[in-house]
Amino acid sequence: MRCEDLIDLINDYLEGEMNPEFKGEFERHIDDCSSCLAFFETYKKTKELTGEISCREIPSEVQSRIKNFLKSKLTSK
Amino acid sequence: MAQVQDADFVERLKAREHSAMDELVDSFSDKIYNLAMGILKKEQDAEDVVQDTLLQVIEKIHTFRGEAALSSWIYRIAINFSYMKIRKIKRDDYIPIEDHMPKFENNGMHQYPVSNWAEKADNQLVRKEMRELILENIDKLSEKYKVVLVMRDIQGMSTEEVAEATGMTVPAVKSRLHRARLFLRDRLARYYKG
Repeated sequence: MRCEDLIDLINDYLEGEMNPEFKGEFERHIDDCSSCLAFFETYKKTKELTGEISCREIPSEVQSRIKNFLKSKLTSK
Repeated sequence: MAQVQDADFVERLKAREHSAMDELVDSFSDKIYNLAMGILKKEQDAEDVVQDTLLQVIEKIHTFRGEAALSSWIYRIAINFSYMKIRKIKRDDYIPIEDHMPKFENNGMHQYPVSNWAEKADNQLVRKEMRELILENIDKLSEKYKVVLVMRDIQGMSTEEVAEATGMTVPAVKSRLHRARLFLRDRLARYYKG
């Protein structure tokens, strides 16, 4: 497995969607290649940090306004 | 998000029951708002997208055939409204994603040694700074990447759900998501590699 192939397969590895043969090759390559190990760990960290970005909740007053808007718009026809 | 039983719920929406409209808002407004905020960044624009989407859902519910999940059909409408909105906003600050893809030699090896800055995120202040940098850089992605990344990595939808909502194939979602993450990783790397 080349470094370029490994980078293409990172997501499949993280999602557990890699067949066992490739998985073994992937892990052996990472053990031997410090650049791929660094790339893998920083990719994983980027994904983890992105997942920590909190969802913005819609303000409750906006929700109420939209409910009233829909009812007035759709029941007046 | 509350789970709604599609078939019964669709019938109640067709009948324009007030309780169904309330349920629609309660079940979907948060997700749509979050998605629209991820794409548009402005609260008023996101609010407009929620309102326009839910209005169209009720007005067009008779055209919903049930071939996809109701939620996917709703997200697709929300994505379209977000795209329509973004076309009206002049944007010139996108960064070409190609400039941030990893570089390899002809033999497939890394062109440059890669430094491992992952452990720097153990420091809570740095971690917060990294999250802010990610948020800032998501905005530099073009919409086609941004939508997939927000739905999958921030909203936590499955790859299949994203595919259904965007009308893309699962492999296309995976590829776009991977490229968006490579972009963000590289933006962080340029900042923290030292």
